[in-house]
Amino acid sequence: MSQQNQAPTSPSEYALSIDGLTKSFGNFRALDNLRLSVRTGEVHGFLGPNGSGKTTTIRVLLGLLQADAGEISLLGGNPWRDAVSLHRRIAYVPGDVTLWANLTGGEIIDLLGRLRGGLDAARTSALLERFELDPRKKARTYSKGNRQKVALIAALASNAELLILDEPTSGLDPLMEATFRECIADERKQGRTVLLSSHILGEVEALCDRVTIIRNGRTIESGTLAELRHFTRTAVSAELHTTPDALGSMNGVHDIQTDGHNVHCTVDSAELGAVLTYLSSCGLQSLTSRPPTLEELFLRHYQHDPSGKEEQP
Amino acid sequence: MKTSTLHHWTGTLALIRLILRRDRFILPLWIILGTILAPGTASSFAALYPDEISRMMFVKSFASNPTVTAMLGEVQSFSLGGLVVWRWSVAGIFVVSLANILTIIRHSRNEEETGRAELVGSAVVGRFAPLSAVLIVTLCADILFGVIASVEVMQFQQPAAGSLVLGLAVAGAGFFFAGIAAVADRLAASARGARAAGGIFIGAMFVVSMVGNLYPESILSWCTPYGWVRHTHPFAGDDIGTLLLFIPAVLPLIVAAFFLTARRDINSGLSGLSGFTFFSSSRGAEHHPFIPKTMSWAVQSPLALAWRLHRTPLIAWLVGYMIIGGVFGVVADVSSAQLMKSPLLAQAFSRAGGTTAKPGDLLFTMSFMFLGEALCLFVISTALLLRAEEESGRADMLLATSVGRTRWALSHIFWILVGSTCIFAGFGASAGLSSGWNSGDSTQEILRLTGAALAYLPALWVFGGFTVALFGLIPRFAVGASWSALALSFFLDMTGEFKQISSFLLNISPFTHVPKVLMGEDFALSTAGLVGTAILLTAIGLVGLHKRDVG
Repeated sequence: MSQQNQAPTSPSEYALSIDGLTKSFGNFRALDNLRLSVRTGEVHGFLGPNGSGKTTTIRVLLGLLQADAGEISLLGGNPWRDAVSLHRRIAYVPGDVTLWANLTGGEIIDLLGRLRGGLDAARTSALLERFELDPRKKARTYSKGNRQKVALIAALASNAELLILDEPTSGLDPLMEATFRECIADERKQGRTVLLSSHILGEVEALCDRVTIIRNGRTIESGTLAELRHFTRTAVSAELHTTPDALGSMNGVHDIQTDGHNVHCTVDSAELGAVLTYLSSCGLQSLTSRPPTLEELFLRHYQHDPSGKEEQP
Repeated sequence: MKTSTLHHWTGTLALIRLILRRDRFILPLWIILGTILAPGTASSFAALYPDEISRMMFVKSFASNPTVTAMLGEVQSFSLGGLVVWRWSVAGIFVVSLANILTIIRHSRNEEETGRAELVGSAVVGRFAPLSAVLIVTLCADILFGVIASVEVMQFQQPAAGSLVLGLAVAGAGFFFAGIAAVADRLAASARGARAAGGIFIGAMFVVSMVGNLYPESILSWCTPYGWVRHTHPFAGDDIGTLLLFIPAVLPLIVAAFFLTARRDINSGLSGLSGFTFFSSSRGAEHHPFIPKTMSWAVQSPLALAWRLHRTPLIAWLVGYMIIGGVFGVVADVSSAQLMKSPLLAQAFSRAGGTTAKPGDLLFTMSFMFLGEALCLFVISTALLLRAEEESGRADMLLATSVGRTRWALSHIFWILVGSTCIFAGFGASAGLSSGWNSGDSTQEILRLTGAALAYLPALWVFGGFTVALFGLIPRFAVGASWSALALSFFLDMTGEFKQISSFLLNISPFTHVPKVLMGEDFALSTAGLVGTAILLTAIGLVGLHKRDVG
């Protein structure tokens, strides 16, 4: 079932692209000039704090909400106008899965698969085994994690080109989370496109080719993890012979903590060379430096300004 | 001992405040709608029959017809108050009983189904607090209802004692149904199931009371809240002792509800009671191992899914209505035999009923109306499942597949049509079977009554269409507005027969336009109008749904 092994250059480089998306609910502006583009065949991480508009964006993509403004192209179509035909090529997993209480998990997987235009029986059985789900139980007896599995299996077993996953691992235990990562890695090999909204930064770091970070309905960062890291700081810890008095006055050095001859700081990538040279001159004994984790990247965007007012270009 | 059990009620007061906050509009609305019928009736009678002589004439000419007696009971006093008792009490009991049932379930089982009860229950809230809170609120609302109704009747220079007995008796009947709802709420498989059980119980009690009205000496006249209200004799002796009868009637129900509460799991009916695992629904599931290929017969379309969601209430309503139909057939048979004993009445009746009507037909015509309105509960709640599916997010999952919004909505609307048709046809057929049993012409009676019953369906569909229109245009208000519309229609139909209300207002109710086939009225035009209205409203709803945001 592998349609493409290599991401195609043409006919459509982007599986979906959103530009200038705006959506208000009454006076509340949920999405404000949002940008998001997902290349065909990539796993794209979609990050943002609670209430930042991730789910609203996904609901616009599914044609459930109508955009107030903005250009949206989804698999070459308009998600509002062409909802039904587009949905044959999309599988969606909601963040908070509610199921029909009096249907069994198996019945629901079967139903959703059929309505998406086909379910691969062999793959369904394999997924049921991998996720250790008993499909014979009524949905009312499932825990949150098991409900999530029902929606996940139905989506992964479908032949959809694009998977839209809204915090799909919320409620899964760590073992199942690992299974999920394996499955997504497989999907990427198969050339399926995945939009993965998530809070689990380790998951995004492990799986995603590119990420988009939004806040208050606006896109604030977008690119590969390497690109994002380039604009951020490296954490440096050093043990020195002398006290690094001049460190505070150097360009691009932040968050200095000194403890006798031990120093911790974060350094802008561009200034890293100069800082290391200076530290050597102070009698460097040991040094650890580490690129910022996604978590630090993420926190930097949200801690600076808890009130939510935009401070960036 | 006392202190160890009292903690089960911790938090009741806070929950009462929550209920009052949530119901701050709907509760007063119910009270106003129910009580306003009383002065409405009184002013109508005061205008039409200002003195005792004219009231006696009216009673002799109209009210002594056995079918009317079956519905409303005998007139106990020729005072204005007496006529209000006769005419209003049944309508008043309907409104309060419905309000009580819906309020109880709204704040108990419905809360459990949505998971809010768990959130509340995890706080410092005793096991019995949620049920106690809603019972206290309904009891207070019922008493308020009774007092307001009696004050309103007093305005027409009626004795205070009789007015108060009447108001409190109707309130007591309402609270009796709160007790029924509390038990049904604990036993049914779902909130919808509990509502259906409550609705069927209202109907069944009414059927029994009809038989009791025909035989006032029999024990049956003491078997229903309708009968108890009548036995309090307001304005005709004011039998306060009977009023106290409501206490032993309601108390066992409330005790049973608390008994069940103490023994059941949250959000489970019979199956959650220890000792009742036999009814557990998950047992059957074991026999259907998941093998995708063999699933082809199972739920594979939105229509099949909708059937799975609607089938239990649909079958319950069908069975309930067939039982009621069977009883009505017998009542019609009996009451027409009584009617025939009085040649004067028989003559008057044939004048009113035209040439083709049979003696029991006035009863059927009235019961179609009443049961049709009751069946609107099924129609509206079936249509409102669309909204419930949307709110819960289950609709999102379907709509994210190749199912379009219109197809999704139609899959539910289809079962409104099929369900209402089957249920009402079942009622007509079973009524025909039992009413024709003695005379041996069951087949003909089945065809005749089923046909006449089906004439009411378009009126039901108008309510279905109206609910769909609300769902499409103003989804957030769909639940409240559709139930209010039913209450309004009920109100208009109740007051309508006095011709006091302008015909313009009366025409708002779809039931005004239903042809009384058994009375010789013609089918075609008004039926076409109702069907057209239903289709138009549904189409408006579908267009609205197509254009709006979902969720």
